[in-house]
Amino acid sequence: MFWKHTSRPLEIVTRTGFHVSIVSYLVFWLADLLQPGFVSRYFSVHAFLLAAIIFGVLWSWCMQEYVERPWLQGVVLIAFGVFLSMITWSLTKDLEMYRLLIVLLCFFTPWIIYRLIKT
Amino acid sequence: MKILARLIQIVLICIPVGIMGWLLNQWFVPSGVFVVLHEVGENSSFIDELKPESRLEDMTENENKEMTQAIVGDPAYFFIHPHRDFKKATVEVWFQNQTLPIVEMGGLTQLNPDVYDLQPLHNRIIDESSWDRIDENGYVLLQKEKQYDSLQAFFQDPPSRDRVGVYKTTLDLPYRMEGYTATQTIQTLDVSLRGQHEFKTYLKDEPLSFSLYFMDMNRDEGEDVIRATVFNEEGLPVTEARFADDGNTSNDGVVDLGLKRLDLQASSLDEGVYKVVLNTTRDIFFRKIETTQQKVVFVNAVFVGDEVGYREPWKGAKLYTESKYLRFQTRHAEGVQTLTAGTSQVNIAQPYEWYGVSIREKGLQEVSVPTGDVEVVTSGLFAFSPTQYFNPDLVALNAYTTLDNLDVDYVLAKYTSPRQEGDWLVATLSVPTEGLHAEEDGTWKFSFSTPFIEELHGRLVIHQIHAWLYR
Repeated sequence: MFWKHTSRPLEIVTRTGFHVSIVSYLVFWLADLLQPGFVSRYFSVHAFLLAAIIFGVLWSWCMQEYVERPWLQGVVLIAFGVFLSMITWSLTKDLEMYRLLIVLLCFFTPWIIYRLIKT
Repeated sequence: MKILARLIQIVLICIPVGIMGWLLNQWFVPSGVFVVLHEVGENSSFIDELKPESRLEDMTENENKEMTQAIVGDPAYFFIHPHRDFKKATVEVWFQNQTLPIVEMGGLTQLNPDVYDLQPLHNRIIDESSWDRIDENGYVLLQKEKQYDSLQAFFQDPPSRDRVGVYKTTLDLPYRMEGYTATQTIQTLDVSLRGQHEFKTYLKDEPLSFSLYFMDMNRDEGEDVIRATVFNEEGLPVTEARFADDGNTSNDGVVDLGLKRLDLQASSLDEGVYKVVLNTTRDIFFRKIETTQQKVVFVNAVFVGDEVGYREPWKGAKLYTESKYLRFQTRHAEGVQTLTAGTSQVNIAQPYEWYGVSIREKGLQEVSVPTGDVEVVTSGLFAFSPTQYFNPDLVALNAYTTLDNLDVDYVLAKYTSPRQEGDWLVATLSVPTEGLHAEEDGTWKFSFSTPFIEELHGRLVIHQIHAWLYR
């Protein structure tokens, strides 16, 4: 993994919160996709995404050591880019000639944001 | 500190696991009953707010800090969105009603035409009656002069059928016409009737014989099939006749020349009242009905059709009814006209507006529809000639009558009065869900029936609607 094992309590808690939130988001989102309304009748599944962002930011503040893994970052960026492109492609049927342009922009958006954060 | 971190870790993991467990419990309903409590103004994924806004007052908070909303037009409705299959639903309504004689509610069971299985919420005619009252097993017996001590005694030795009025129930006392003799004379109903209709007829030592002459006007898309079914007094079908579509399923308005004919016949039927259901679409216009039956009455509604492409000028219709309240509507500018009902007149001034008229005169009264293209609705029967009229039904208690006007000594009702909870009346109705029409996502529609609400400037104030859904 790109984090190092630590015994600092705050880092343990925020790391656990981040992982639990991400896994919960995926599981609940999938459950709601398979059975519409299963989750969304009661609350927004995106509450877990919000929790993941909050725990992620807190964890990044607490984390003192981490290992750079460029290949893992690349895989995540490409996967996220493909995901965004697919959504954009399905939602922009009426844009005709601009459709491809916007899809390409969406594909590179994660990479652009990543570069901005790194700099 | 590290122990605390471990504890928080456990809590963080347990939260989504617990939520998932709760969601699974909501979905599978292991207890068998899913409860939805809904107060007016609260957001709910299961019970919508009342609709449409044009028939409702704004939501308000009363002096007890309770949210309320008043229904001021008819009908108002709401939707229930079950999240899975349920076999039965019990709906409870908390309401106040100071003005309306009868309030009913029911689920939508059929589309085109929309049919609701209405059940009583509040019957003030019964509840405020000074007659002697017996309540037993969901039934009410009102007696002008007390003759029976129990419903069992009433059923064992019932009075003659013309002395009993009924509400939401019936009495097993078959209608028999004294001095009736069959004839072979053919009677013609020379009137254009559009779409689905129901009528009743009387048979004694004679065959059932109806010839239905019709045109398929092809104004709406889809097949226009006719299915005419005859039901006996037990509600069982005894014969049926069908006519297939003319092959034109478009809405081009192209009509085959001449009238087509569907014969509905049956012999060796026992004496009694038979109901004929003409199940078809609004594209079918019955132009003429020939029958050897002497008695024919249409039930609750007739749609006197236009006669475009049939004859000029349009002939309209004359109807005869004992009903005391009628409603009329046209859907076209050509149907704007002034109708006569008894000595009253009603002006249908514009399309898609319902117009009501009360008939004050007693007995059979004439209703004149000069040019047709009008839907006529009542809670009762219509004939197209005074000699064809008969009333095989028990006298029915409805919102347009009083106990005195019914001219009966007993009223038998399937009705349980609402219970009092503080300032609110609480009525409960039980609905088998398999009979309900469910939309694609399983949604059910429930409608209030509040006759006379506009005329009386009445208000039905709703506070809460709860539902118990049984798996």
